[in-house]
Amino acid sequence: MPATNYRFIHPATLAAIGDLSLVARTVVDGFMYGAHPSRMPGAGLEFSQYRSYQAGDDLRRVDWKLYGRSDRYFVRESEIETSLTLRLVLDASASMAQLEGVSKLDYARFVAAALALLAIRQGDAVGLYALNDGALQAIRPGRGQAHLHRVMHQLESMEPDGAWPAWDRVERALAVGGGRGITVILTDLHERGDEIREAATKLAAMRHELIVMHILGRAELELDYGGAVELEELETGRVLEVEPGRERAAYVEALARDHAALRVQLQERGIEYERFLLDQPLDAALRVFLAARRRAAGMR
Amino acid sequence: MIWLSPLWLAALGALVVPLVIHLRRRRIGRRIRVGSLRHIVGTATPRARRLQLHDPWRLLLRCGIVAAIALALAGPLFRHSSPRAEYWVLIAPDVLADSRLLADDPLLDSLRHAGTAVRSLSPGFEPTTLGIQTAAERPIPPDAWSLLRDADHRLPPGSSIMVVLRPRVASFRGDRPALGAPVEVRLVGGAQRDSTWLESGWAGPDSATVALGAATRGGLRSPSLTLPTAGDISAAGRSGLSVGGAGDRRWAGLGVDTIRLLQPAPVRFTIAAAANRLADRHYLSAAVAAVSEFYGLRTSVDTAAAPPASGQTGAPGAWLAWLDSSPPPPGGAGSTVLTESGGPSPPPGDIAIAEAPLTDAFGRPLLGEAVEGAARVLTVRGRLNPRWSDLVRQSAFPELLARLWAAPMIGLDGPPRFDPRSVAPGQIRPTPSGPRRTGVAGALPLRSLLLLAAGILFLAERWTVHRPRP
Repeated sequence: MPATNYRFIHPATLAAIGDLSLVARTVVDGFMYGAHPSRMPGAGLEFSQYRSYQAGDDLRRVDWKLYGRSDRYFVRESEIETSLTLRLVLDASASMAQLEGVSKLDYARFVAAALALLAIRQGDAVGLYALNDGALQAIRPGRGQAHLHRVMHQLESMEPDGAWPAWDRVERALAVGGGRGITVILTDLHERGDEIREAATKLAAMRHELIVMHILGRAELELDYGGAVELEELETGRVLEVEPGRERAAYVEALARDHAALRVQLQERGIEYERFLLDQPLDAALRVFLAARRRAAGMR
Repeated sequence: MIWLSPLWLAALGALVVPLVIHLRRRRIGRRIRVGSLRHIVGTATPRARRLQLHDPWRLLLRCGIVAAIALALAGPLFRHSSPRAEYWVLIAPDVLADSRLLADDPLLDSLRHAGTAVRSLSPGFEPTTLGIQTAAERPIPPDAWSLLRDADHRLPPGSSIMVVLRPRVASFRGDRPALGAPVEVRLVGGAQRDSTWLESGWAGPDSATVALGAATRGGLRSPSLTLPTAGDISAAGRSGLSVGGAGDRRWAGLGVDTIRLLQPAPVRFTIAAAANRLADRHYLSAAVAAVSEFYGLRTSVDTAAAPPASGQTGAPGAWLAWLDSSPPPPGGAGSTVLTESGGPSPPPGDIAIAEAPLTDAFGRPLLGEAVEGAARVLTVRGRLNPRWSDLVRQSAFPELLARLWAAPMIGLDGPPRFDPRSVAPGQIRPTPSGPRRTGVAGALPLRSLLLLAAGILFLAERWTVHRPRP
């Protein structure tokens, strides 16, 4: 763990838990503990109004006490219930299998699960899109615990494979629902061409509040692999013998230049860029999400 | 450059260790699966890569650490120049002062005729020339071994030493040191003539008794001679022995050695013993008689069965041996009371006899001394009985009694002036030499410097490992 005195659980420790739902609760509860003590009653819904029951409404939302008094069915509504949609776009390409204590895909899983739980508790709708060029696994945005369970199950069943797909293959799925809400892309930004940046640009153009969460390993960032090693590229299988000590300086410099250019490029398109290292706790991701949510709520 | 332990130079072979570790680390250790190889160039071919030196500074530092430690273990000494080996002849001052010895000894005589420069075996090793010494009294070498160790450190490697001295034990105190230079010890002055000396003497009304000390290679003897004192005489059969003077200025001489003859007054020694301690009284009486006879003392021994009256014990110089389990009567001023503790408990204090505390075989004090009232009380551990201690059957017992009781009367106040016993040849030869030498005069030891360098190199090597990477 880096020298920073984190209050939160290390991702490698979370990986040992196994149950993604429990991981999400651990992260979110730890993050929210003491932060919003009066804003999180039960499901987190803030009462707004009653309306008459209509066919198809969830019976759990009927106010039975009011029925007892008025002998009519009323359904509780809250303002937040109609608020935001969180779309979680996960890079499920083979490069996300890179392991540094915890794999990038697991880290993305944890972040996604925590964001989904937090969003559901806030009353937001959550959608999940796991992408690679072999498969597109999508769960359309929805609310409620049952939906959250579907999201969690989908997150757990993902396997890294292939590369990021071309835009035309995912456009239909990602463009559903218009520009409302927040879209979070969890990726390592390893691309053959500009396909990830192109997707981000297209989504931003649809007036999505877009956050690119760039997941990196610290050893990857510093090329710190000890002595001479063979590096195997996960998406292509290409192997290269490397002297990290010899190449470190040039590599770190080139990578930093690349990341800086990427940040500028995304920010010019109104896309928020955040970088996460695999040994950092997940609270930073939740903080970024909540900040974006406040911005999105203010825009509406 | 001098190496104290040159075998440790073989440890320089350990230089291959960091080299091997370095080259082994050059081998491909593991395969790591990464997301992308963008910005990574990679090396050309494994064989070419292994022949290249990676991080040569770190390798150099590690080799330096190993080399510094190996050299430090070898004990290097830096010498500015290499002085020539020397040959020192060290002669004891008392030998230098004895012209007869210089004339009689063939080696010294040849050295004197050749005009060879010699040095005095004394601190400083002053150069001198044989034959011009006066007969004035010269100090005897206090400790020949210490002087030889000092001379060994002063001499350059390859030097040798010859030591000429009289065969006296007192010159060879302590452990024989390991010397780097070969040392030849030559003993001059035979024990037949020079090992006889005047120990003490006392004059009676019509005769004089002189106690001699005589040392031969077979041991130490202490004969005493009783000589007539009617005028100045020369004793027959004892070359150089003479007695002279009159009244309280009588003297005895043996060669250049002269002592004043004491005239001891009659002394009274009272032994009061209980009925169950008659054996103790018997051995003590015998010892008192032996001392009196040997030293010519006029002693009256009173073996009273009952405690004497206080007036009898209180006279100055009077001795009372109180061999009873009851407390002794108080003694008068200047008197001495000798008692037995009768048990294993230690005496109240210890007393030093001849520069060393008198102890039993277990190192416990044998004799305690205390002052009770105006009298001196000596307490012996246990009893003066062979069933308690073998001391009373040994010659050391009358000697002990003589030093305790008769010392002021016979002139044995202090320790002997010197120990003139012969030195057995096996005590001197062979002289150890060579590998155990630990110092060379004029050379600068570099071991600490090399260890410091190794420490600095180690810190530098650790810094190269943990330094923040750009």
